Amino acid sequence: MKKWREEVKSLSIKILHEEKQMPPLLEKTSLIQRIKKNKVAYFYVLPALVVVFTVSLFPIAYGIGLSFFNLNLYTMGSGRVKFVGLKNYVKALGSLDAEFFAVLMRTFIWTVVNVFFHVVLGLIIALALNRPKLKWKGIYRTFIILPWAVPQFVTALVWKMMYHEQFGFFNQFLKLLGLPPVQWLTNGKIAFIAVIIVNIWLGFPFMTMVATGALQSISREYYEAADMDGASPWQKFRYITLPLLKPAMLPAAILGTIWTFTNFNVIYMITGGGPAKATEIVSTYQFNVLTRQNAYSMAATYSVIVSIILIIITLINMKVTKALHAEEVD
Amino acid sequence: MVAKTKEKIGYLLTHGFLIFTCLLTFIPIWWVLLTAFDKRVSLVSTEFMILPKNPTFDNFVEVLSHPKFLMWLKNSFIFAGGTTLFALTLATLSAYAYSRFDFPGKKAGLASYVIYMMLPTTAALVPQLLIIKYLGIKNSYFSLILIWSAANMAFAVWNLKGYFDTIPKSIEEAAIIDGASRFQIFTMIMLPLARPALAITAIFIFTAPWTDYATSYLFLTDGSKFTLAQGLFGWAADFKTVSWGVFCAGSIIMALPLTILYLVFQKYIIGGLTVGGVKG
Repeated sequence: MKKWREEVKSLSIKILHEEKQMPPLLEKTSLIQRIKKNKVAYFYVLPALVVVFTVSLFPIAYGIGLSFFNLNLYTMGSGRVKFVGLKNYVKALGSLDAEFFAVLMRTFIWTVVNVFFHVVLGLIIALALNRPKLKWKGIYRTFIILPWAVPQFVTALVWKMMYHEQFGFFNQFLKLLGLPPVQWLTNGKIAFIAVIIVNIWLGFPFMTMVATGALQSISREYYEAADMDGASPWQKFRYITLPLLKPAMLPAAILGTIWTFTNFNVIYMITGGGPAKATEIVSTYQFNVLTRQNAYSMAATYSVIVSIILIIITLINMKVTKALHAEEVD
Repeated sequence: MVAKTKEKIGYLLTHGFLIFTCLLTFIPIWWVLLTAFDKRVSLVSTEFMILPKNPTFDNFVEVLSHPKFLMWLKNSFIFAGGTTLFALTLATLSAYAYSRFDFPGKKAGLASYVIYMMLPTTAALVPQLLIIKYLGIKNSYFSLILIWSAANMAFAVWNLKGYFDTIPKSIEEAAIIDGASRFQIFTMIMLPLARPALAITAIFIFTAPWTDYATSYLFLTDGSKFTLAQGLFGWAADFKTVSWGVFCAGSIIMALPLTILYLVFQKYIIGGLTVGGVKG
């Protein structure tokens, strides 16, 4: 069996080469004929589709519908559920005072600040790691990738404990230095910074890895040619490194944006959205509205709004990657 | 000469910077290890330590002999393992067909997966909660495995299809000529060749239920079905009965398998993520 597999593998390389030179085969068949011909395929794809449709997509459609009603624990019990049109959306986004609107703005700030530091730190560290002839690279890399490798859930809880006002690591360290303790999680503004710090710690390793991969694929020749022309390190960075990093960093940054925007664990584990909703971002806010107030329709409304935002970001992502590919071809 | 010293200083600074960064990055991990291996008289301590004062395995022993912890561990394994097997099976079958066949509805199927991936993970949560309440299947292993499988299906299908696409079709055509059935081709040729992609996808699928809190919290009210995530979250919040040392030991046990997997497979995982992103 093993020998047969190896033969198949070497044969495949040979055939792949030949296949590229064969002309395509054209056939016109009717729809029913095509369905019959590919009968087997349906057996393969249907199980997964059925599961996804019934368990996920149908509920999502149901959720969109929910957002136009006023379903919550009270209306459900008293049978006063009715269609309310866009009232929920107006309630959420209508005024600048609206709580959800504030949460949405905070989510944007959270996302932008985090991704900025992820990319910048990731890049700086990758550049440092990429110096030729640097010793102990492997050790550095292992340390640096730990925040990414350890499950977010665990590290979020660990940070929460370190931020504890009396027994937490940070305040005890400050006490050692004779400094006053910081209200890491009990002061609204500080808490927001505290969770951002955690998320930066969590997110920069990924960017470092992507940047490292991209840096390694830049040929040394470019730099050598630039050296011969007498280019300064800044010029080399600006005109060689940065442009060649773009194809890898840009998609990674957009991925990071999506992940950061929808991140739930970090803030929920550490502050639960508090104190007094000071750290609520959309994902935690929706969860809290659902679990504490049982406001089903409002939660569904928030879902829809977030979905629309994410679809827009994803579409931007697709356009950007298409543009990058077009550039590459040149 | 000046150039050489400049270079040396440059390297010194670089090393200094990297060492500093590594130390900062390592602090939380260091703290977990420190706390887990330290024997404490009180539940929490006001002393500041760099190394454990009384190194011990006691916390680990306490955790591993804690009946609730073992129950959570069992549940997490059932959920994560069950989801991985179930989702991977369905996804591999689908990915194979999408990669090899051209049939009416192929584009629609793939498009619906793409759309699903664009939505936040909580999009289906509210309705799912209502539906499950309605159907009364709240605390069952199977319903949660279904939910997690559905949530990860799109990613799995896309990832695997992308990998299948890179395997030349001609091998199968040769096997067809030899009289092999489609299913035989699938199981005996495609699957073994796709092992790397299967491994990476499996790691991803496993991570979701293993570390999830929100979904388990919403759908599990029966304490005997709680997951590690729920259990540890409870321990973290309540240091009046559970010492931080015990919590840290439990966290390490929860985190260790995944950490090792991610460290070992890091290159493939990150490669897979960014390539997948580019393909859109």
